[in-house]
Amino acid sequence: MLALGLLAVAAATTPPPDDPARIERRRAVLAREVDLASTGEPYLLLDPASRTLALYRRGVVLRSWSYLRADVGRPRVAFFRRAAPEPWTGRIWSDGELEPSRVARHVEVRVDTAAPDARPAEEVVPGTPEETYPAPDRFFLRFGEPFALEVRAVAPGREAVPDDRWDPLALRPREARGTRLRLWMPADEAGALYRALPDGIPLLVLEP
Amino acid sequence: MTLRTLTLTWPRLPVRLGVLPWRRILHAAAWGAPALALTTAALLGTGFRYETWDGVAVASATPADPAAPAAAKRDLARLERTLASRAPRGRYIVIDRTNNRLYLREGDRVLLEAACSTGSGVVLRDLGLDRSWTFDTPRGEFRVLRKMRGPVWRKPDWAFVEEGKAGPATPDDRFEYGALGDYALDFGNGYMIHGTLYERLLGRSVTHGCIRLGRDDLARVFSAAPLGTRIFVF
Repeated sequence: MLALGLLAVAAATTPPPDDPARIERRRAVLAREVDLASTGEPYLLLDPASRTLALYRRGVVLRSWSYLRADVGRPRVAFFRRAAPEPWTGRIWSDGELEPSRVARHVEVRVDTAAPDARPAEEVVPGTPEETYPAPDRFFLRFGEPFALEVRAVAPGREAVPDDRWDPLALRPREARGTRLRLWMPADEAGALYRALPDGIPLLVLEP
Repeated sequence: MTLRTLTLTWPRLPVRLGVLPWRRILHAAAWGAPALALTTAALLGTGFRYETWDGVAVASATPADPAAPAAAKRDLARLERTLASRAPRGRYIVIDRTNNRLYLREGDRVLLEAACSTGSGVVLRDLGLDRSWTFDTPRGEFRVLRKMRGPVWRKPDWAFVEEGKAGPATPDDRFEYGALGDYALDFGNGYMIHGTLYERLLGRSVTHGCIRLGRDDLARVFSAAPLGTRIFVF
């Protein structure tokens, strides 16, 4: 009886795989994924089922980062919720820009080969990736006004993801109707993601 | 001395408290304090409130159209085939330039992950002949065009400029043996995946644009990646 009851509850909560609405949503999201794969440029897919954010190009994974927990942040003004947010899953968000931005450094080495006492160029030994591009504990990938991906690093040795639910006074005027998707990642994963993200990258949040 | 007769002598000019408009000040304080409290509370209550997201589609951008489920199913299968056709078949190599990592992948499987070295980003200027080079590894999609065992390095002009010379003294000076390691995979425009004499620098951006690998990792990539293997650099 108990098993039958559990089955009935499960059936009531899980949409059947042949659910027309589900198929239609899957079809629409897949069409967008095909569009992205056809551009020949890199793009990001966030898959909540596998808890991964992955960099793709032409439909193949280049690199993926796993996250520990995802939170959705919605703005409140004077404790009041704003109007219903724009839909943000299953659509392509374009031109993601890192904040703070990652600055590429170019060192210039000058040699005068025409000079009679020309010397070899000085050897420059650059730092490790972590030294060259130090990653902040918190960074954003902003997609215009209404949507931003926020990445928070969980310090090594910390067992649980912080239960940090409120970000006061963090609202920018342009985010007043926006949504943030916050991903908690191990610090090394978050750092590698920060260093790897190409400029102007699009993102598609998959639907389960 | 009462409050009214107290004279403040700072900053410079003496101010007699008795002449201050006390009624107005008290009035303003009576209205201002609650307004200040409300503003503070409003500011404290302005921000982002987060809730755990378990992946359930919220406010989906794709409203359901249950009118033609059979057609949607067929379309779904067609799209899955299209997506699969976009992806390269077999193994492929991925280079993460900023993290200096190389991956040999096949579908979702990572066959090899290795530390590598990519372009340093250094700009070399030859003031004598007014020419310059930027040592970046190019981003994009490439293919293995040529595979070489025991490659010989044909030194470009910049290699001589780095040594403080305008060019080679003899044609033989162009060729250097052993500098590229045991193997090289050429992916066009002079860029290669090859070995290095400086394995201690793997993981750092030190090259002139090529990708350097350690001896054992290079041997594995060389044997696993046939001609035509795709190389994705990001």
